Amino acid sequence: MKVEIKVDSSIEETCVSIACNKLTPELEKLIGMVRIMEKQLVVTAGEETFILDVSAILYIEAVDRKTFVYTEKGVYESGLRLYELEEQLEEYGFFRASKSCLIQLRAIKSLKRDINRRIRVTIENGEMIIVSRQYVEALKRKLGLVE
Amino acid sequence: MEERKTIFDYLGQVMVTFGFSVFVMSVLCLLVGEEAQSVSTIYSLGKEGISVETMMQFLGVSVCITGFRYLFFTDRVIKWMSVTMRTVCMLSATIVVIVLCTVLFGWFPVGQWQAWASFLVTFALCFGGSLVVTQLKEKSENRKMEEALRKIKEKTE
Repeated sequence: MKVEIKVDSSIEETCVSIACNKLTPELEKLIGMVRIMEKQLVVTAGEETFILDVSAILYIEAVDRKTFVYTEKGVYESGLRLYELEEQLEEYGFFRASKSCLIQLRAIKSLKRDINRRIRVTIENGEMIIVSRQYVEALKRKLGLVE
Repeated sequence: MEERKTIFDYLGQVMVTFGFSVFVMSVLCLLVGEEAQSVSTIYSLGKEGISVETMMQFLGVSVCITGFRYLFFTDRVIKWMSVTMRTVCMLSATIVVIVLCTVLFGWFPVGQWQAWASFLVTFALCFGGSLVVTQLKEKSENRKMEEALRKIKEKTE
C-alpha cells in the first residue's frame, strides 16, 4: 500500500482520502479509526452501515469475538475489536468495566458498591452492568476519586 | 478477567477467622478463665489456655463461616440478592452454627437464659457494629462516586 502525505500550509481543512479498487476489512478498520478521531464510529446493523456519534453510545460489549455497540436506539456491530475501541475511545470518557465491556461515563445513571468490592452501574437505559473488581480502581481514577 | 479463587484462598480465610477467634479466646482465658472454668467447656483449662478439642471446634466454626461468606457474599452460588438479604442470611446461618455448637459442645450452660441473653447481646453488638460501619462506608463511597459522576457530566454537557 502506498501512503502519500502532503503538507501544505495553504490547506484549510485536513482531508484524508483513500483510493482503492475495493474495500478490504483492513481498510474498513483504518476508516473506522479515522472516524473515531472525528468522534464517530462506523457500525453495521444487518446489511446497513451507520455512522454513530460517539456521544450516542451507552456501552460496548464483546461477545463471541464480535463487538456490539449499544445506544438508546438499538444495537449495532463494530468491525473493531474491544481493545482497539478501548484505546481509541478512552479520551472520550469510556472505561473498561470488565473483560468484555466498555462503558461511557456520561451514559451512567447511577453507581453503587456491590458485593466483593465490585461496582454496580445502572446505564441511562436502565440496564445494569457490573464493574469487575480489577477495573474498579481504574473507574475511580477516571472519576477523580483516586490519584 | 475476574480473579479466580483457589482452595488456598479459602483456607487462608479460614485461618484468619480461626486465628482471630483463638486470639480473642486466649485473652478471655487469661482474664476470666478461672471463674468460667466450671460453667464453660471453652475454659476447661482455666487460665492455662484453650484445649486442643476447643480449638478444633473453633476451626470447624471458622470453616462454616468462611463457607457462608462464599455462599452469601460472592455471586458464584447466588447470582442476584440484595446486600441486606445476604447479610440477614449470613447472620442467621452463623447464629444457627453457634447455637448448635453451644448445645453439642457445652460452650455455655444451655439451660441458663442469662447465658443465652449475654450471647445474643454480645453477638448483636459485634455484628450490628460491623454492619453499621460497613453501611456508613458504603453510603459515603456511593455518595462520592455519584458526586464525581455528576461533576463529570456537568463539565462535558
